[in-house]
Amino acid sequence: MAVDIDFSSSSGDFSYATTYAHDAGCGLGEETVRYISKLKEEPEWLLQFRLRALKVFERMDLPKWAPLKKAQLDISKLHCYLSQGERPKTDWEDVPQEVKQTFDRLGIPEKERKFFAGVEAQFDSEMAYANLQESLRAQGVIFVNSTEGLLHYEKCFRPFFGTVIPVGDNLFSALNGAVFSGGSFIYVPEGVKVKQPLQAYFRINAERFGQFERTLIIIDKDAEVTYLEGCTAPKFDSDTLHAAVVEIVALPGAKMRYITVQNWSNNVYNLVTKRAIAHENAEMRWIDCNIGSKLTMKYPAVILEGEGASGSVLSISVARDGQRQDTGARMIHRASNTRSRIVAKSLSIGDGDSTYRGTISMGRDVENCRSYSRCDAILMDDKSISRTFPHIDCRNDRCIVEHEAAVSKISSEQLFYLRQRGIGESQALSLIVNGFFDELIREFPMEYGVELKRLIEMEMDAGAGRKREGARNVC
Amino acid sequence: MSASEEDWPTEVLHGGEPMPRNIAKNQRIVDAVPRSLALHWTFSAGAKLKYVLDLRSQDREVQLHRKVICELNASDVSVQIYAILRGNNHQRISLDLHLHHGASHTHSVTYICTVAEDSSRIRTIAKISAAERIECCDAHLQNRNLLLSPAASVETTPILDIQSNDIRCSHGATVSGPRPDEIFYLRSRGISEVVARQIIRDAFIAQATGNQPND
Repeated sequence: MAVDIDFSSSSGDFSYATTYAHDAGCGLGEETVRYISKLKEEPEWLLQFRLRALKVFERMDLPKWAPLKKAQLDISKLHCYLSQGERPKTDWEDVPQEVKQTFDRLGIPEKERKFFAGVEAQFDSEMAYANLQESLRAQGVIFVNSTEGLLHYEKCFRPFFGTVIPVGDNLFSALNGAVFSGGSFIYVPEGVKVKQPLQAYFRINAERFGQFERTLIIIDKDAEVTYLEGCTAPKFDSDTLHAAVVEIVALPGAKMRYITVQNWSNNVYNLVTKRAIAHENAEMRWIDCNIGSKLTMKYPAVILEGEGASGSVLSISVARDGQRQDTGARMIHRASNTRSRIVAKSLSIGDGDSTYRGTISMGRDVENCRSYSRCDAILMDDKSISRTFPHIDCRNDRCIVEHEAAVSKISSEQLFYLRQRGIGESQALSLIVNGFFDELIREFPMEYGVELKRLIEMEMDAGAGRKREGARNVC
Repeated sequence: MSASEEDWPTEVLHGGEPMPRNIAKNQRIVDAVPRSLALHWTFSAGAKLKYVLDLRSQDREVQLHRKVICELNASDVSVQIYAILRGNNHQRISLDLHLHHGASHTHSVTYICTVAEDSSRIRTIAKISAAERIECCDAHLQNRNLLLSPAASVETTPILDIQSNDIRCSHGATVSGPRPDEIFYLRSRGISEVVARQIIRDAFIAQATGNQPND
């Protein structure tokens, strides 16, 4: 069963003229927030939540270490809400033509038929399509957009909403809280194991636009699910903003795998807050692949709240010319017998800049916890940059924390070994880089893994000349 | 081939030395000053430095800070740093180390070993940076932390900031208490738990100094 998935940087670089029925206009103010809330017919408590978030956003600033200044985010030039005013359709034939042809071209309907249990497709601010296999619906699985989750499943939605990532957590969570729209709400009932992945696809189509989806996932006791999100946007001259919030609650014994393939175009600021709470014996895995965007700031976190919980973050990032991938992970051990693992691998090409920021925190009253983190980086060119900022905070003597990191270029010995066996230079480079990422690529569903490898090969082919020059400077 | 490390002139710091200071030839510097200090060294081409830091104090409530900046701005400079930080009672000990590789053919090896007892708190920031367009550099850092009390704590941030691709750079950090099987091994040979912990501590420190622990 081969499915053609194209991650190449140009695959999402197209757009069709679209007319929008609802536009909150440029800029962000109280009227924008009220406009969105009224349009979505939200209850008063949610409007107050949004207004509170707006106030926090206005007075908050970015931390000093951030590779971005608040002033650079010129919200006054961005549309915070654009939609066609349609509710998500459950049949691709009912989706508006210009939206459908976008997703057709990206291959989403074909993929759904072949290997997904459910698909949501977000076009700018709202979901255009949402569907879930009937058998899962019958078992009580909920997979809808966040607005529908709020309106129809409030009893389940409201107690968890905003609890994992509070409004004041950071500047982008406050911004998202004020104007969020779209995103998924997933509930998997106790003991239900969803075998095939659920997928959400986020598409930015409009220029000077901010996409602020909010996803809430609740996995009940002993349930299992895999969620896969993909992101693309056409390339515009002006900057686009994507500031999502993802909250996950893994109840006792639950298993969650959250896979992201981020392939935004190079004009998108991708500023995302992702965090999960893992209760007793729950297992939370973030698998993150960042290839696109102008600047990514994303540090998936797991709060290990219950005994025996485990968390892991596996991260791949590729920073090409003009890109900055500021990624990382946070593991907060708040219960005994918890385990965490972080493996981050980055590749910087041209003047690409890859940064890893990690925090591992062991509380005062926990014991027998263990954490291991590793970040490796390859610098392809003499202009490439790699930074590593791990932080370990251990407040007791009964836990073990280990961290290691290494930065280097591709060694001449490796290249020589492959070349003397008749392998061309660009092929040798892509073999080495694919080997470097292989351990993490195996974690992706097979179809995605194959395409990721193909993308890396293409990158190597494109830059072979540059790398050849770099390879001469050998000690 | 330069003289072996044992033959390098040794200087024992007293804390009154003017900074920044240039290291022009091979030099061993021993620092056991029980006060907060800021040290800043630059280097002439070919110079080698071995800096041995033993940071501890008898004062139960002391706050001790050591800031060390090494600018490896000339070629063929080599720096070795061995730092031992020991905290007990309510002490607050911190080390802020920055090794900047600003020239080609520079090498650094850093070994930081910390032992936190009682309610002490030890904080380490160790940064290795490499400037653009330098070649053939090596930088390695190891940071090992031992916690010997449930009330002690350790914070460590080993940082890499690399802007050149012709450098091999790595760091590793570990934090843990003594392993239960190590304690069990010693206790099963008739050694009390207090003494067993002291043996483990001394062996841990000995790894950093390269010496065997005393009887």
